[in-house]
Amino acid sequence: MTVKRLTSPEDLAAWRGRIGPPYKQDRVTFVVSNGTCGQAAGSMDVLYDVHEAIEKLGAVELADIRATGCHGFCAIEPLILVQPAGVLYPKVKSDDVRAIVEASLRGEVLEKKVYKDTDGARYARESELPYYRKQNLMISGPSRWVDPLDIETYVAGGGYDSLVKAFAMGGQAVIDEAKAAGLRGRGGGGFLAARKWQSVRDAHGEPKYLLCNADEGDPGAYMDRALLEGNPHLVIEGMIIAAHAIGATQGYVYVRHEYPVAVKNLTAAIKQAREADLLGKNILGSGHDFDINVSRGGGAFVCGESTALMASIEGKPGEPRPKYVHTAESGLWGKPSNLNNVETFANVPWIVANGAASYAKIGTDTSKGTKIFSLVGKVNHTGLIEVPMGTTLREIVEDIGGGVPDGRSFKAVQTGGPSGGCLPADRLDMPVGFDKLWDAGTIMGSGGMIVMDDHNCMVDIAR
Amino acid sequence: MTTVSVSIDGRQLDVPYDARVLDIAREQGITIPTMCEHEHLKPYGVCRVCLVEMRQGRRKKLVPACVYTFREPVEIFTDSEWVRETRKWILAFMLARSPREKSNSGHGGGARRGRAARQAQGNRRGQP
Amino acid sequence: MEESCGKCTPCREGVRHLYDILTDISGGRGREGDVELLESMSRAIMDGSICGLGQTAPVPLLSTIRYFRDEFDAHIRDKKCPAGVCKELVTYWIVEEKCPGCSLCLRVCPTDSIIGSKKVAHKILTENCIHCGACEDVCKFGAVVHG
Repeated sequence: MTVKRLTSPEDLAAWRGRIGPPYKQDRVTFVVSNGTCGQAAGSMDVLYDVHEAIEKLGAVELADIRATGCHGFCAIEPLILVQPAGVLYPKVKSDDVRAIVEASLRGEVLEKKVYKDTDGARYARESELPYYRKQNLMISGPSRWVDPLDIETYVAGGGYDSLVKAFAMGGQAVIDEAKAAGLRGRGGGGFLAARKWQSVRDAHGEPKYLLCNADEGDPGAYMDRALLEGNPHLVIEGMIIAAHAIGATQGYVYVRHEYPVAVKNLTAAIKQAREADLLGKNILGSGHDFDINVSRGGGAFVCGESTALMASIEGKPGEPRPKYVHTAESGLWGKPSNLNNVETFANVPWIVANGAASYAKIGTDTSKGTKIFSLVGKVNHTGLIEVPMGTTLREIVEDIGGGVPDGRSFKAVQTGGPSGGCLPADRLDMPVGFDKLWDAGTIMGSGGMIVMDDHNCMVDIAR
Repeated sequence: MTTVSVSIDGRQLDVPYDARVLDIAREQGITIPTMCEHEHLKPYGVCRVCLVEMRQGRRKKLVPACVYTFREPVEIFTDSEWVRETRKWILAFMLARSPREKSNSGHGGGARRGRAARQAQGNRRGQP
Repeated sequence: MEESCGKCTPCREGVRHLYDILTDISGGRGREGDVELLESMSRAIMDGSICGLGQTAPVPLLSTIRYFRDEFDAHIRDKKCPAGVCKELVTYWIVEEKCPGCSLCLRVCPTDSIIGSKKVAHKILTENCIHCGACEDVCKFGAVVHG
């Protein structure tokens, strides 16, 4: 891969023109979900088998292989997605790979290996799956075609266009746009991102720092990992736009130590972005400087707390401090600092690209956009789901999650990870959103969602 | 010098910007109990014994008097019901760890420690 | 609970107390008033902690008390665990009609609390039973049940 240094928006457009569309229309692309979860389920073997099958069939000229990050539907890993046809093969076994490859090269669908739902119905196209029907994959969707180690796949899908637009708009306009969009922090607190950005922009002191919190501490929540692993450039682009908005020149991504694949993919992505002059001095000829360092976490849950995280980056013990002096004035090394989490940054390019008005149309009055939840526990379809705010818990648990397995009955859902509260069956029709959940006695948190059945004891859960 | 108009326990005061609640209270002869605070140490704000109630419009929260400084016009209450109840629990949590608390050692007691905390809380009742 | 950094008192000490009381309740040693005690402590922990960890640590507890109060009462008053999870509160017994007397459970019982001979339905001596569940796991006939 040769990346030319980009000195202007026109260079970026020209580069995209040379790359072409995300999938070559005259070739078959075998996409394998290869995030940490996929690898645990055996996706590396599947990749190898696909490679071997293509070679044996003498189809090297007709087929491409692409390893992407997590597609979200963890229960069906390892999977092969055949593009551009969009046919999905779940739980792929080594012995089936050759048949799948052969059929796909002929343009056929191997019916007996396609997805079968809990009710027995079969679905060949990924887009038809009941799991995806009520989802809106505006943030996590590109992870299904982007190869995290290849910046060109991200650029091909329109990547870094939002950055060009943001530079043209100017920093204050970006903040105003985020404010109009009503973007709230996805890390758990739900603060308005624009308000934080404004106070850092207005704060005195140089340099200013932009921090990205990827110290996802909640057991059972892994959307930040999936985004970083699967689509690191989306997070990087979001960070550059935010840095431009607040006037920061240096960024840090604080990744928890347990995420080696995320660190690897992010580091590779940063390197590629630097080579393309998307990070560093005079980005895209705009005159703006910004660079990102990766900081590996101290390994404690509490390090995700903003002041503890900053202390940890400074090399001090990761303990929180009373923050009556806001980090916007005195954060990292006593300088104005802004901290958002991975998912928040991942929302930024979409808002800039599509405008605040379209973003604000999605969701509820006080919670805009989508939220990625990790749906786990006693539910048929476990995985990462992205739904518009305002989707009801019932839709999440029953329609997307496919209900409780083994004929048991639903008892409770714990939202917000281990610090979140449990909601009973009679609250299932509640739409999710920051304030609705808070009123019901629980939290949005980072978006963990654990379903419990009648074999779970609530006193034991509370313990 | 910029000042901020605030109130402590109903007394209207103009205090220097960024003055500590604890210092102002002491000047006024109002006692706020402290533990981790010491004149030779930097304020650390962790024992939570000096918590006071801060109100600003409809917003109210407990803040430690040793690190919270006046930067906005706020009302401080050093002895409200909320402050007292929370402070008692915090003292109780500490007392449950004290060497004289027999239920502290060994296991098998389980909630005895929790009950010890409550007992300690009962014993301290009326003594802020 | 293990995640508290230990800096401030309510989170470091208080959460430990909550855990101890809950352990007692799930072990059948709960007393009347424990739920109120938990609620009052939780409020102090949430209001008094420095960071989000302590401020939200009691949320799961408070929400389960709010929506599943009856389960707490069952543990405290009736010394029963409706879901059959709290080991110390469940009893195991053998359904005679289903037990062919294979003696498998008899052999795995660590406390020798199961009596009976081959081809005769077995019986669990509840006073010696430590509720480990080994007999239920090993039974092929679904004859061992708990509740």
